[in-house]
Amino acid sequence: MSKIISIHSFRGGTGKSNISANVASQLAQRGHRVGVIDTDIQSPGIHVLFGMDEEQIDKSLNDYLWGRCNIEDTAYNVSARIGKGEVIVMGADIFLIPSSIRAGEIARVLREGYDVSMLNEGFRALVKRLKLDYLVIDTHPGLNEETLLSIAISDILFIILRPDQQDFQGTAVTVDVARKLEVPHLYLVINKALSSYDFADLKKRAEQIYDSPVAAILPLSEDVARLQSTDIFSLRFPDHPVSAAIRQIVGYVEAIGQ
Amino acid sequence: MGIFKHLQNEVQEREKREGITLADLLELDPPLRRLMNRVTRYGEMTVPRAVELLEDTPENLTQMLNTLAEKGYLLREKGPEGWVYRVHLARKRGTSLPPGVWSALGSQLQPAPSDASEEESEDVVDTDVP
Repeated sequence: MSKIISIHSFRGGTGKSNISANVASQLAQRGHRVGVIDTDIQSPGIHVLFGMDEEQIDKSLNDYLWGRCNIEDTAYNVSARIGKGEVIVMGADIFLIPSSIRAGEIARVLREGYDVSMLNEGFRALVKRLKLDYLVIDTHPGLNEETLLSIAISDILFIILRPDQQDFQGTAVTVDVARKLEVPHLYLVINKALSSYDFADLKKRAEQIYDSPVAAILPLSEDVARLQSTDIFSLRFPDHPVSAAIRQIVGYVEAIGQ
Repeated sequence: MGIFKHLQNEVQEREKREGITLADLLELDPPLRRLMNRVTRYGEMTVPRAVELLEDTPENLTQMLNTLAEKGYLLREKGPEGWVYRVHLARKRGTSLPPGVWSALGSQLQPAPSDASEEESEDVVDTDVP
């Protein structure tokens, strides 16, 4: 049965898009048909990780929300784009549904709003029409209508936080909201943890504070920064500790599907 | 009818037309919220399905579903096996920004080619309007 996965964080800059793209790509490499949708309409970015730019985005989520096309018309098969020329064998197709990066389109959404029901219907239509095993939703940080909707309809929610007091407080709010919306599977992912930290202790403390399991802790990595979001890190550097942590997250996802 | 009652009715009617926001959903009483969560998650709901998911009586759940429908949070239509309820989500409202910001964005707000037919409509942005 298809599953909807939301990757969310209360604050920006936590690595949400990077983790979304990596989890989605790992799932596809393992033979699952995956869709990735960028609902960060105000500040989209995940398309960069799949090697796409404005020129290559003909139709976007915005076009669907304005009634200009069907949702599946905005899906791009990005399987062949991964790897930047290196041969990376994907076990199944991965589709990206980008948000528009045209300033005018972003401004229009800000100014006029949009029909949230269409977004809700679009999620379901994507899963059905593209025959997806997983739909990964990359959200806007904080809490707004599209974020709340994606949390409300998710089977699995990963909340990303950094080991930082501001993130810690904001995450408490998100966990509270997710509990009210009764997300069936809620996990925390700690990103950018200094390697000098005791990861086992960090995991234990976070689990105590939020009463939720920590799926993985990703170390702060210069190697990730060096790639500058130009590719899928865990496929390019599969032996890296960050990649191992991504696979740990994927392990949780696959365990729920069984 | 007094003016207060009239305004109250008008507000209720508007809320009913607009549907529910996810923020409204969070504020519902727990039993109604639990039910709304299920309808939102599954897209649609029938009384037998709600009974199965929430382990409550058909009478209670019918009453709750109808309460939500009366508030305009659910849309109800007759299916072959009884009433089918669907979530009625409110449109996300646009943001009010200072006029200067919209003016600065004005040159970016040209309609896309596929919007050409809408040129006469209110979708065309008047940069003087905040």
